Amino acid sequence: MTSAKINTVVASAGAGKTTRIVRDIASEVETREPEEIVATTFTVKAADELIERSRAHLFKSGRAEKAARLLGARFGTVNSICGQIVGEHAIDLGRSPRAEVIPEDGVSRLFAIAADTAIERHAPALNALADAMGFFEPKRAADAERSDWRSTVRRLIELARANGLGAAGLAHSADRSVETFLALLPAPSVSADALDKALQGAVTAALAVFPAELGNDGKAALKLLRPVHTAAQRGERLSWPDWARLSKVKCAKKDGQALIDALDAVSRAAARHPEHPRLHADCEAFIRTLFTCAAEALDAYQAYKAARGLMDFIDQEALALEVLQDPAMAGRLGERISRVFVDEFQDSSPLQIAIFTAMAELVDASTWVGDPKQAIYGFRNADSALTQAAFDGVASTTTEPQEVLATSYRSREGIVSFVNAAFGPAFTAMGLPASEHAFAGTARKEDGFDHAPFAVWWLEGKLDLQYAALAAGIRDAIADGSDWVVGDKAEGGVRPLKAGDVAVLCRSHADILRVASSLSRLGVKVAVERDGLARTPHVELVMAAFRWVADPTDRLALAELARFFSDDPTSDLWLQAVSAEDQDAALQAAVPISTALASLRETVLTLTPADLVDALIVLPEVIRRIETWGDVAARLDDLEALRGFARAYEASCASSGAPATPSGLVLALAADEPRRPKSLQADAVKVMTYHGAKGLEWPLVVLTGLNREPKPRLFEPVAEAEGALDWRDPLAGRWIRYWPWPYASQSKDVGLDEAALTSPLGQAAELRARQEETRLLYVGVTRARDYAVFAPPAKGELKWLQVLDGTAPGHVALPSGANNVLTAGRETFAARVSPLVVDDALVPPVVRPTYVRLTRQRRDRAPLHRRPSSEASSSPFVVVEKIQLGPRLPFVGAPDMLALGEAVHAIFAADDAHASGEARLAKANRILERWNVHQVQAQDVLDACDRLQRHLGGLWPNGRLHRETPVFARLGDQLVSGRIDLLAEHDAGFAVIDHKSFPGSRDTWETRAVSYGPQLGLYAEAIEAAVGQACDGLYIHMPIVGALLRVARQTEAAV
Amino acid sequence: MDLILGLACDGRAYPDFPGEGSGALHAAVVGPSGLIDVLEVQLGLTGPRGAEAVRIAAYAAKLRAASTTGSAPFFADSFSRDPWATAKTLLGWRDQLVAAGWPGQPMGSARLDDLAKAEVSGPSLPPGTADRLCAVLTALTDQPAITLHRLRLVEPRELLPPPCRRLVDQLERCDVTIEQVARPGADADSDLDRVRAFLTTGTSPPLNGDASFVTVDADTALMAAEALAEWLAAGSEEELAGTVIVSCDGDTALLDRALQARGLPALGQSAASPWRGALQVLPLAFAASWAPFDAKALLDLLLLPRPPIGRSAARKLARALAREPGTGAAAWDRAWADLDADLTERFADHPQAETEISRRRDRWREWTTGGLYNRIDGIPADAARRIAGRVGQWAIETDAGASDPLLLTVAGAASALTQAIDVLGQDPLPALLVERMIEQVLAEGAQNPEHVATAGGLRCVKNPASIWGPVERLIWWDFKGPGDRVPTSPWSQAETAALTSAGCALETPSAAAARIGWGYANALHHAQTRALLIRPALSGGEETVSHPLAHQLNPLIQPAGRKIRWSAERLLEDAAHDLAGRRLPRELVAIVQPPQARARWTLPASAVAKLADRKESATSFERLADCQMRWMLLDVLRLSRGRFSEIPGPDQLLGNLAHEIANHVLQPGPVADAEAVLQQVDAVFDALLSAIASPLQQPEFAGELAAARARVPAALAELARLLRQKNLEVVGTELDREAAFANGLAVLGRLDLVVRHPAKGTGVIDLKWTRSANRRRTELAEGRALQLATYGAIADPAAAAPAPGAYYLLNQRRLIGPTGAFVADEEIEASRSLTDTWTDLVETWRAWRDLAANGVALGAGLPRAADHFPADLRVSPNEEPCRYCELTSLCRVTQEAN
Repeated sequence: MTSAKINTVVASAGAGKTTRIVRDIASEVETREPEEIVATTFTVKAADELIERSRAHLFKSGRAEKAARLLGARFGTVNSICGQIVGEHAIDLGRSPRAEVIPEDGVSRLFAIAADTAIERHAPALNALADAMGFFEPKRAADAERSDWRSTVRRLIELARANGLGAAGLAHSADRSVETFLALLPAPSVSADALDKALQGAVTAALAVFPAELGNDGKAALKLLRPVHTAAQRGERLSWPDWARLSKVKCAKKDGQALIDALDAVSRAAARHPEHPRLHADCEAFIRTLFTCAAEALDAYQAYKAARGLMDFIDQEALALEVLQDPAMAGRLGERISRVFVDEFQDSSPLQIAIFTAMAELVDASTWVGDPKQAIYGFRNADSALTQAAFDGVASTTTEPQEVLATSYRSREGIVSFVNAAFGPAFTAMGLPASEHAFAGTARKEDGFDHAPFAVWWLEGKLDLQYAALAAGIRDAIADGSDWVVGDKAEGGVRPLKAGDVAVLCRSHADILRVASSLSRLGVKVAVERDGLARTPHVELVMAAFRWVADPTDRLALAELARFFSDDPTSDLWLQAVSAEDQDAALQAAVPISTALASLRETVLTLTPADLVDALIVLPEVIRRIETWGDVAARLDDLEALRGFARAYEASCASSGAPATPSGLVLALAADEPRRPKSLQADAVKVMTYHGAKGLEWPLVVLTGLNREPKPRLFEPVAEAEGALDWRDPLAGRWIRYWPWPYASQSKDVGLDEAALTSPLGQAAELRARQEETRLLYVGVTRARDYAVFAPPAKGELKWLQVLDGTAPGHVALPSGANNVLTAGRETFAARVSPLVVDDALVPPVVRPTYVRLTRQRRDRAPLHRRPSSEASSSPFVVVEKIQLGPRLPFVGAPDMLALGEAVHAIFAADDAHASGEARLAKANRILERWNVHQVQAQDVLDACDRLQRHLGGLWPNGRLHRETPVFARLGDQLVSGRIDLLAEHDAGFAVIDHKSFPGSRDTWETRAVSYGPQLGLYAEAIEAAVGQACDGLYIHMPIVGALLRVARQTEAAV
Repeated sequence: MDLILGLACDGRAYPDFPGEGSGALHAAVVGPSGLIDVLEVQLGLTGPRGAEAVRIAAYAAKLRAASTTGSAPFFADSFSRDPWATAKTLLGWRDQLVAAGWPGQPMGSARLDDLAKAEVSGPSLPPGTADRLCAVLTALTDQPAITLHRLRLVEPRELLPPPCRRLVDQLERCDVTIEQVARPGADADSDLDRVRAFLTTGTSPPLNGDASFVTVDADTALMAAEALAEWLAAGSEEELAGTVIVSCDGDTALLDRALQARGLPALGQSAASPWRGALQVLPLAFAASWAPFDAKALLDLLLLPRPPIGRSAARKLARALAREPGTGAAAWDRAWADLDADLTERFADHPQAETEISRRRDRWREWTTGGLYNRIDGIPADAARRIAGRVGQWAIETDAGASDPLLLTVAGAASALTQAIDVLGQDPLPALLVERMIEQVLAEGAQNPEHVATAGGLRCVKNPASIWGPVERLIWWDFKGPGDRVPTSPWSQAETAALTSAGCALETPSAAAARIGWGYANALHHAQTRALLIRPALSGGEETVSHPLAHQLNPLIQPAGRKIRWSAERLLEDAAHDLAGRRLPRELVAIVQPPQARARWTLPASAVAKLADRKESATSFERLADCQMRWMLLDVLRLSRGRFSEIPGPDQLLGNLAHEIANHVLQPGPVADAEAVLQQVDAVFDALLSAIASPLQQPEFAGELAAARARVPAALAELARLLRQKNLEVVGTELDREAAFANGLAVLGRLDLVVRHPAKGTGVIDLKWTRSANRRRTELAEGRALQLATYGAIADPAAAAPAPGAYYLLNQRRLIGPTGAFVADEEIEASRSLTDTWTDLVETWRAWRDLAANGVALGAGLPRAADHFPADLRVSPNEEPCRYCELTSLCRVTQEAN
């Protein structure tokens, strides 16, 4: 039984939970150290909002000191907080203290490197099995992911770590997976040989009866049977997808009865594949080898990361849990944290729940805020059953009623009521009673609204036409914004709808692209993340310039630039240049920025790849060219993303220890195919996934994909739990189920599909899928502030809405025909209904003028800082006086002249003539010792000091000597700063004496001395500017040779 | 001497110097480090300063020494995994303790005692700032005569962290007057005054929007830079004086380019980065020294703008390496032979030709074919020193006395690395350790030496606390969070208590938070007439978060809304803008379309002229049949894609490897049996892998390599079996053939495998490594096997008819050919025989060539291209001719969405 003090708050969508947490934090800092607060939220943005609002609240209420100290508190995503904890305890954990997060797109390469031994060991077996399962078959669609067992191994490892499983857990998971998988197949037949022979016989017989003329099915059958036959003759194995394909061969009647019968025989023989002993053996071997490989790779991968201090998100959490479970480390952490707030608790994974529970044991109190109705991240390891159990469990440990935030501050009355009516039964079935989960009402007012908050847009036609129709509907709504007035959050009241008020929620990235391109075609601006950053003209232009700067032999880049810089979009100047006798020269001539790029190339060694990208983007001609293409803000978004990519590339080089080079960036951009960022423009329609919409809101939300059927996750690795859930021991009884799919693209009518679905585990997975879909739909509908627009296809079942059915079908029904009423159970809601038919009428493109900077003259400016040491002078210096102060400094041996010079200089700077001889000598000796100079005697140096002192005393009996004194001056629009070795202040002004450890012969002194003239001259100018007094004495003191030389500008000397 | 001390005033501060005049003598603004510097000089405490890498190496040696006796220290596990990072972190802890007065003695606290043990173990540690501070404090104990008379503090004295406070206290005991720098007061009632009042008291009347305090939001850092540059450009040159820009991320390169384009001064802040071009020689030289050989690293080294060996030699070797990535391959050997010939020619008349040649040769060899060391076991320290030495020498030689700061940085880094290796005393050095050390030595001071502030009144500081006097116009560029982190102490309460009782006082988190918060507000307190806070929503592609000062100002800014907020994107929409007291004029730009896709182009006469005397190949035919434009540009006009042609991907490498192995095992004459072939493949596999496909040895390709190890031998054994079964003898592999045909068509090609049947004559077999057999099957079925047809046509110039041919699909072990081809094992019913394919191909070539000769080029995949196709095109382009084309950017095949 936990002794932790936890309270839970259930907050429905838009019910003001951030406000609530902010208030709690503000009251907490009154009684505890602000630095001891931990607040985790879902996204970086949410964390930012939370800290800003919390601190602002404190500043506003006059508690500035508490607010300042809140900077030391831990606000962040679960990962950032775990990462911080791990970073602080890295050495206790025995890891490299670097604690760096692996960039997301670097994970797979890193894994491949770290786990190479395990992969190499198991690759022969797994490659062969994967081959039999058709993993290497061509992709079904261009965007389909290629099956790669290495990704499965990686996923198994990820799940193992997320569920606290080690090698033993993986072995157990393999057993359970094999056991449950084989239970899906019929008992194996006795003889594999007999099945093979029967099929081969049938295939051979069938091939003998193919007529010359064939229908399409017959042709397809022949195309399949021929290679199968050849393979069989060569004793090669038939793949399982081919077994499945053969079980479905058929032909047309006109192909003849003989062929019909023969193919029937083939399909009957092939249809016995589920009982094939080799299928059973292959699948079992595949499962076991994958888990074994995962266990071995897990160790190697973890060791690799530990040595480099690298972590992925799961490592951060798993290691943070390790810290929390270790008494010594937890003890130290417990001294620093005392109060925990967890937001979006419903999206926690078992590992995260374990962390929050362990933290709760450590601190005075924890508040977990969340909404079980919005748990939608099952695919990211979240476990909604467990979080729901935790909510219930915590509530049952206290006598106080569970707090519920049930008033919406977001949605209009109708939306709130509809949500209650539509989702109530399904939520109740999930164990979320309406009494705790329904909205109690809304704080929104209906003033100013003319229409109900619902609309239903039936999308007519085939798929692509439906999206075109939807786009037209959105275009019209925006055009007729006053018919869709929305609440004005900033000013109050209502105002007409604008493009930026609309969000379209989609089920997949493919749908997003369809919606986005349909809207784009109609001239409606869209803010959406989409593919092809590197294929936008502005990024192509910058990268063509980049390639040519990095590689002057890349003439294709020049040709591209020539096209980009032509005002006529179909100009053939580039082609003329490519065709010229001197192609290179002609292309350079055709590219107006080739000279600028060539001069940038001269500096390329000083730049990093990311610097070079920056330099090119802001090259005036480049940015101006991009500006002339219009829509500048959107293009700048892309270019900003390119800058980000270049930085991420450098960061990934840092974490992998590889050098970062321009060629590397070009290759990385081609290989990674980064996406275009979603635009931040306010005047664009937002298109995103339902998942991506979490936590956001818009005045008008369009809900698409309503015909989508919930799909349980059956043939991919998933975490399962054995026995009853215990939220206090969330990792108990966990195992990973992996059922392989041996039939590649053959996804239906192979027996296994049905068997898996109807199995107990399959049924449980299906229930989970339905429940998650219910919650996802809830998230979608509750994003709407003023209007929820349902946009279903006009034909076909709306399977997604069926998840709301509960016990009775048709619980939620969308209006059709003249009926303008949306029903949810027994309640009805008015809705504007319209069928949308494709309509290609373009919105007359708004030609937005683009205003750009005025062309201004570049101006060559000198450096701001004039350094005396690197000063050169046009007016030459001469030696006007040469004084031998004493003998050369005697050496024994060959000193390092640089160190000697520094040491002697240091003695001159620090010597105090008034101190005792003993003290002076001791100090000088220490200096020589520190500089490791043993070849001169300290006393000799001190004697030199004395000689200089005496000489200067003689020159300026009333003067003062300042050693190592700073001087600064503004000369024109430049700055001079320096430290003068010795400054003599005398009756007539100043003299500068600079020590130079020059050991040369007498005849070289003058040349050397005058070379320092400009430096001293600049000091003199600076002094004059600073104090307004002349500095007319410039001396070079050469202590090593015992000389003092006075220099002056030749012009002054002549005077 | 009169000093102003600000915690953030090491580096640039504002005002530039103390006093009102145009200069200052005997006075300066310093940070803690600067103050220690001044005192060291006065007290005679200066000494040589080593690179931080050398300190870390020394501390690592101390930690190792401390670990050898007694019980395992608390850092043992981390140290064994990553000695460098562990030493670096613990040295940071140790320095912090020393600065706070830690005596370095055991005090009965396990972790602290482990560190105390390290203090007295191993080699001596070069002094760091903390040690220097302690030395200064010790020297000041005797109250020696110093020439510092007055010290004015920028921060309130109570906010100074303990080490700094100790120093100030000690100076006071030495009769230095300690004073506080005053903040200017507010005497008007502008928004800016209200902001300052709010920062002081927490209350203030609402803001009016009088343009004295403005926040500028931009979607991107690019637009933010545009807005700021426009605002500055709208002012006069005189108004630049007194304008200070706060740029916290320490790099103003982007902004400076925007400023310079408008004739404004550059701010000149550059961040240290290990990725500057010139610095890459050091990591690349090491990266090319680890086994398995990393061809990409060597290629990168050779392709550096200033490679460490002669440019032309580097280019030749790079070309060989990109073609056959490995060493010991034919291309590599040919490149060396070529270089030898060049050298011989160059030094033909030189009296010491041999010496000169071998000196260069040896040096080039050293750079390109040094030893290869196991990453885990490590590189011998001597070998590492040699590489570092070589890099250092290269830098010095390349610099040739010009004092190029970056080359000097490379030389310095190489020398620091050598010293660190010496001090570390570890031999051999594992790869991870070497990489860490290189990163360390490169990270120190590798700023862009050419990026400097330029003359004018504009100033820039990195830290808002570096401002210590009045600022007319304050601009906070990149006003984004998270700001400075409040440091978390690694010590527990018990350890902290033990330290405190030993006289070691560490800064508390609350004191640190107060100090940091004070610094933020400080900048605004000094602002006199105007303050602009500029925040991009995206910076470097990352979404930004709000600055801590924005949290503080939130209660004031939020209600003011649009009165004080301005969006930078507005600049794009209007001809003139009023922003923060200035009028920003803009000009309308004439919109033009980006280059558009166009199918039909007119070729200039010079292009047409290049059609004469051409020789086609199987590849050029394939290109031509798919897209005449692509053929024209790549084959006829030879538009180069540059040297950075990527090392082939794993699939292509596997194919190359399989081809090369086939060349070795399929010798002219009768074919060996499958078993013998398996043995032969086994014998040459690894050698050829290293020679021409070494990237496959990189750990990330373990799966692919394992597959190849199984598939390549099986494929060749099966091929041998099939050849024997068909009674075919090998005529040769990789045979060069050339033939002339009617209409001036000349064709040349290199044939993978030519075979002969005693009765049926010559046949050609083309080896293919492909994931799927579909493409080649379809090609045969549709009569589009252009390569096979071409090879058949030129296989035997003496023959009357083209030789029959087949593809051997290595991955699938299938020998497929059109019906009737005696070389095929599996016959595909073809809609066109190979002979007909060849005839049609020649016709197709003629049609396209004639079109080109008439001055027309067509991009086959572009809209409406088919309208212009020649009539009766017998081999029409594939459905998606642009799918794998490298010229899509040029042809503008993809058009952008909005």
